[in-house]
Amino acid sequence: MREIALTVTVNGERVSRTVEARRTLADFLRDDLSLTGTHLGCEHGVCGACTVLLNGDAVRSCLMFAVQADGAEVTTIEGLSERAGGLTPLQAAFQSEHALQCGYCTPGFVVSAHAFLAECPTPSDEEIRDALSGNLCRCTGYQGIIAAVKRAASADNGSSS
Amino acid sequence: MTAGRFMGQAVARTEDPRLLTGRGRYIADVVVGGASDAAFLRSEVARGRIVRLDAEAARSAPGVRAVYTAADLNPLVHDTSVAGLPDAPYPPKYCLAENDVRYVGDPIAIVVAENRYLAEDAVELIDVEIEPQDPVLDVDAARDANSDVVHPELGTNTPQVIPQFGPPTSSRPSRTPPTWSETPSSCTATCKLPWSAAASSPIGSRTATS
Amino acid sequence: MPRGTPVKPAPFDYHCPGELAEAIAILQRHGDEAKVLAGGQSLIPLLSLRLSRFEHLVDLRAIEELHGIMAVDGSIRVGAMTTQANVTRSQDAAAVPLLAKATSHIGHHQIRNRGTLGGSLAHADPAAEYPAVAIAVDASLEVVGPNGSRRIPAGKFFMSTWVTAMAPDEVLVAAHFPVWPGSCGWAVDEVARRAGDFAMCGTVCGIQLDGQRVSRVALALFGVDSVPLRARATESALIGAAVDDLDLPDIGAAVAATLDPPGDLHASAGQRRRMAKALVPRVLATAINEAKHA
Repeated sequence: MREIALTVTVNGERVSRTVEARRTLADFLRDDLSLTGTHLGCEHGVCGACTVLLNGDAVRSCLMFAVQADGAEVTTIEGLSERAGGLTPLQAAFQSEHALQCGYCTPGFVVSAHAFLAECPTPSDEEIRDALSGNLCRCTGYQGIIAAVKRAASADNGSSS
Repeated sequence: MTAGRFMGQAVARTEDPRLLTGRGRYIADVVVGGASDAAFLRSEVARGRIVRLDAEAARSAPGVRAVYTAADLNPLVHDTSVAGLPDAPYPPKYCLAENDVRYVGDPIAIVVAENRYLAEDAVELIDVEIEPQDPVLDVDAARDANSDVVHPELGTNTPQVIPQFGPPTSSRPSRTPPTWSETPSSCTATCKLPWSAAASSPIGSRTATS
Repeated sequence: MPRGTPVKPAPFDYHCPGELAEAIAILQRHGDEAKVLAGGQSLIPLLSLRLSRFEHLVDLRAIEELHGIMAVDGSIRVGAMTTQANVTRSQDAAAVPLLAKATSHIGHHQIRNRGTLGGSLAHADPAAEYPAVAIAVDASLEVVGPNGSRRIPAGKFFMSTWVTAMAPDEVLVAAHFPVWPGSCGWAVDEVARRAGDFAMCGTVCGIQLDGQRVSRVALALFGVDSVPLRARATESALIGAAVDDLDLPDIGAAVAATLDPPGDLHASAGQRRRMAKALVPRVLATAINEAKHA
């Protein structure tokens, strides 16, 4: 039972594959499905660059085996983006607030922020900081990221940014 | 030339839309058919003598395309250039550790395989024995004549002495800040900062895939 | 011992049984070579870094009876596979306020969406929050093995760092947390280097007031020993005391003096004692204040 058959819905598309049991969900998404938007930073659950949504919940895809996602719905950064191009309000907020430089941590932050705002649409600054504490950024110093999430939250709620 | 086009304006970066939607292309995203992945065997001790190194079992492990040790690669390296001061001998840089290891993490062997999983499996099959030796861990120990020489090639632990400029004298113009000798109190502190030039992490490196 | 810097796990056989009996049979068959996989937030990093390895992983996610939270006999029974995030969301679990308060200190939301209450208890990390909650309220752990089901009191469950009273072929199926009646207040606080890091020292407190007097109190500490500790002597001294007469800093100092914490890379023994000295008054004050307004 080293190789396991799995069926998983990824970004709305049903996918069936047979994979090695030890293959992480992150590697499955990146290498088997060519969804390279999900990044590997630390590969032991600390940096958050690998964050994806599992049945709507933000999870670290490096801390899951692909086989554990059997029967589930996975959404990656590609799945949260506009198919026709253009940016979602959250992504646009990241751009306006200079919340990215090299961009490596960015998909992880966007996915995590997306999940956070869905559950907590009117967060305080403290709540935003706490929610983002599971994602590391080497470039920006975080202030732009926090501002971006704050901006996206108030935009969602109709107040002026 | 339209000088007013960018001056004083907030200019949006052109790469952000790609990076925000997962369409960035980082080196690990570049897929080249038939490419291999590598995993390293590294020293777990700060200093030691390599007593035995046998990579045969690793070479025949599943998915392994090659295993390289110092014997394989070091003769192929003709020049390692290190920016330094003139006439300042620099510790030699080896591609892979030859007879000894000089820091925790010092690479000893490279396994090249079909994928990272198989490469890491094969690293575990390399038979290596290292006889630990006493590391030289700070400046005082380095200067101590009784300490071992870390780089026999240099023959010394202190290949270069850079003169330290003394405190400024009191004959400076009055608009300069108070000199050391004028300060009312002073203290002496010893700071130990962990730092190893050899073991530093790469920042701002360039990568290539082939 | 890994001699590289691995980030991918060694190979294993993966089992995903639909029935508890099947899971136990697999554990029995393979002994030390088999390990239960719950949320994987502690196990998978160990496997990826090759600090641990097992020939067989037994994923419990498909076993229905391990999920669910319900009130049973004056306690809240939390199924072992309940995610930490779901502990917070549960209306039933709200009857044991320490559960939600402890959960907010665990890792980050991504971890809490996968990590389970049962996994945390069975992993028995000395710096974990749930084990301290379990001993604070005298929870009991429902464990099933080849010889049937048994209940282990929390005080006897945690033996040492990463060691519990469970046999290798036993599975933790649920934890029962007693509900306290009356005017109660609760608090959890810890010192960690960054949000989500392992606690260097943590405290859990529950207090029940009868008018202005303490009628019941529980005080537990984590991160200061190989298992969570209950400050029973301090608790006894508090029973019957008038809350407003309590010298909280004094109590903190007294508790700290009983500790013999480890010193390690993260904090010295002295630092851990000082943290306990500061945290105990804080959680007592918060719990008392909450109880007064209950």
